[in-house]
Amino acid sequence: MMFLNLFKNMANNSKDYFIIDEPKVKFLEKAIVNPVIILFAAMIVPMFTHIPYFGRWWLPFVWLVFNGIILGSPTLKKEILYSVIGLVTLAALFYLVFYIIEQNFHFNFSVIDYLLIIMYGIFFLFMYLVVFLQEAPYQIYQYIKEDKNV
Amino acid sequence: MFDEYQYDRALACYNRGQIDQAIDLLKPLLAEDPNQVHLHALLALCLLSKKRLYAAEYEVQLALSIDAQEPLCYSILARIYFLKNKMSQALENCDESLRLNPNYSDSLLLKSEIYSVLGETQKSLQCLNEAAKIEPDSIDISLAYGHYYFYKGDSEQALMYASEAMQKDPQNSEAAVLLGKIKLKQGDVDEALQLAKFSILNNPDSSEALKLFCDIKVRQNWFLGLWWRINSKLSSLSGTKASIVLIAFFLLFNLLSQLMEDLGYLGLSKVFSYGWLLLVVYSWVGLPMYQRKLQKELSQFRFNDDY
Repeated sequence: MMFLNLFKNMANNSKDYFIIDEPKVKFLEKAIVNPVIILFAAMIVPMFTHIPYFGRWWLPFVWLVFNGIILGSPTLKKEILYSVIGLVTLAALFYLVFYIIEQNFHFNFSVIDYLLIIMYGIFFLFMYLVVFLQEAPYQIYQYIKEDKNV
Repeated sequence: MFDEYQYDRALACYNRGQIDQAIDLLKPLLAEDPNQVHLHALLALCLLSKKRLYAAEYEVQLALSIDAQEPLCYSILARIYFLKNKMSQALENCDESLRLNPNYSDSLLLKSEIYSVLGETQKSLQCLNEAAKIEPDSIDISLAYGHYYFYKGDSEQALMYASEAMQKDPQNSEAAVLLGKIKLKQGDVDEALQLAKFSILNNPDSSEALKLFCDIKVRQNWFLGLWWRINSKLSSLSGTKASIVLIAFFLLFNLLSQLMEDLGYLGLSKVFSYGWLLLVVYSWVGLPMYQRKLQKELSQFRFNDDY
């Protein structure tokens, strides 16, 4: 009887329950960055290099939207909306600047400089709006990613 | 029938935060009887604590295939989707859990968290109120209220709920951390430091307590102190408000600089330009310095699994 119990215990111990492994990190997941980094890049990179086709204005928005897609951001629709509104507003201001230059208006002060400052203001306003929206999902992603003691 | 004694031991280990031990206890139980919903659910919770989302989801799905009427499983599934940033699926599972058990306050608390991430603060508060009606004496609900008001920037209300949570359970580390954060924001550094030390002693592996400790150090630092204060003020605003404040500063500095130049005050114009540049550089340098300090704090105190 004692041997039987011992045998039973051995049999039970040999049975093990397997927990499935986590999937490997997807290639695109490696491209996820903190949205604040995109904001900083939008500020710093144009200081050192020229981005063709007015890239300094639209590229950060595209990057943020791409980041939102690969992050699986639940606020992606809002992020796209803000990006589009920002880009359309910037395009309208660009049109205004070119119009003023073409028409050769004369003012006592440098209108173009003021318009440029406002354009930067609008650019950063929409950048901040998108970045703040993406920050919460990014924090959740970061929480899962960090210290994964698997 | 599974060994209830072993299950209770596993549950106790889970509640104490000894996740590896809990998993080790659950595995043989599941090997013996894989048709127990509560074993799969507890294992899923353990895996969730270890941030193994896919394994946790697999376990919950197994549990649901055995009993599709268990609200706990839907609640766990909702938490998994929340951590996967799939908020609509998380909400669906919360609702399903509440349909099966309308008094399941955990699902309401999670719903509140989800709405908070989605920026729908009114709905978030509404869920908290519903949860409070079900369990008015729950410490989790007091803490949830405390966090809600803290992140909304209402320190007074947050303080009230954090103190209430501390009264309910004076040993609760999370309540102490929240109270410490509020005290620090209100400028009571000594009290915040006491609370941070108390939390670390209670739970040495609590990253929130260590973060509070780091925040206190940063606030007292001569270089990063101002950065921390500005950052703290901005964090208490909503994303939209914070964006508007930042842009207002940007426009103010740059337009004033341009105006001074146009009016012929070149010296003043330069002061504004350099002032703005200084502010920008300070904010750029501040963030990585703070994160470095935080990492240092976390790595110094972080214990290994054998602790």
